[in-house]
Amino acid sequence: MDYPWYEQLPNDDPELRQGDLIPDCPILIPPPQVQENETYNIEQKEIDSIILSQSCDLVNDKIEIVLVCPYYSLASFIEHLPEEQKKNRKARDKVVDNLRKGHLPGYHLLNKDEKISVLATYQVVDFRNVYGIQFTLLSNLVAAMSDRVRLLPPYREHLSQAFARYFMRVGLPQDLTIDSY
Amino acid sequence: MLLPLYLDINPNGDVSTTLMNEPIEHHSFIHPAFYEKDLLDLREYEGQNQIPTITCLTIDGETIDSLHALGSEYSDDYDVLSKFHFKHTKSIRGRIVRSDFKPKIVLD
Repeated sequence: MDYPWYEQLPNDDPELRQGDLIPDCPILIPPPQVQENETYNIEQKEIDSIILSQSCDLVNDKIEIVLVCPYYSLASFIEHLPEEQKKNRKARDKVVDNLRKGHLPGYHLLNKDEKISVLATYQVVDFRNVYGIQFTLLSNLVAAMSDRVRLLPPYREHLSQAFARYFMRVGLPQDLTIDSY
Repeated sequence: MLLPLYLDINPNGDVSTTLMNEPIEHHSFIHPAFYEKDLLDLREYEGQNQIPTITCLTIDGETIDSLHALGSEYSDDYDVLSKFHFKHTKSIRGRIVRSDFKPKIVLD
């Protein structure tokens, strides 16, 4: 049985869902200090983003701020690792294998789909950088797109679970040791 | 898989030292692995026709008091950090207007 990772949606599908890939999503960064009614240079940065908010919240108009995380190519992920973690093929293979197995909680690997140009290579979702985007802004972005890509089940739920797992982790002050039982 | 153990490797699949109850030393060798000193990686023996049958596994007598030495294959790694970069950056002009954020209350 075939379980495709993605589907391509036409422009006339306006609904936002968890797992929707929104490229060139703007992130506004204000200056550190601002005064009301003053005008400033505001940085507009862009990320290729994937929606993490639950679909039921989006469809039922329950939220005004949509949670998104950036995603980028696996090659870019490896390129920006510390030198020690990418110094040779063995080190890089170890990182990629741990990523594939879900042992890097801050990151999540998405499969490539060579039929979709923007997903010609493997992608990595970065849970460490989470942004909130106004629902209306995101809806307007989507309306202006000619088409968009949506992550399908069960990969979408797997992504959601991994996102939750990253944020629900608890660090204990010391490891538990069992001396007898 | 990394294991702290002694491993008898019998390359001769037709002869089982367990069944014969007698070690066939010329067909086997012992690869001792001491906990925290040397962990045996079974992957090194894959595809080398050396383990058609693992006939004897003996875990070293030392007590395993921690799982951390079993390697990162079994634990999450929070030390891998890929430096994040924005795709593009540009500057826009904006006037700050203050308003209260009052999202509607939703009871599921």
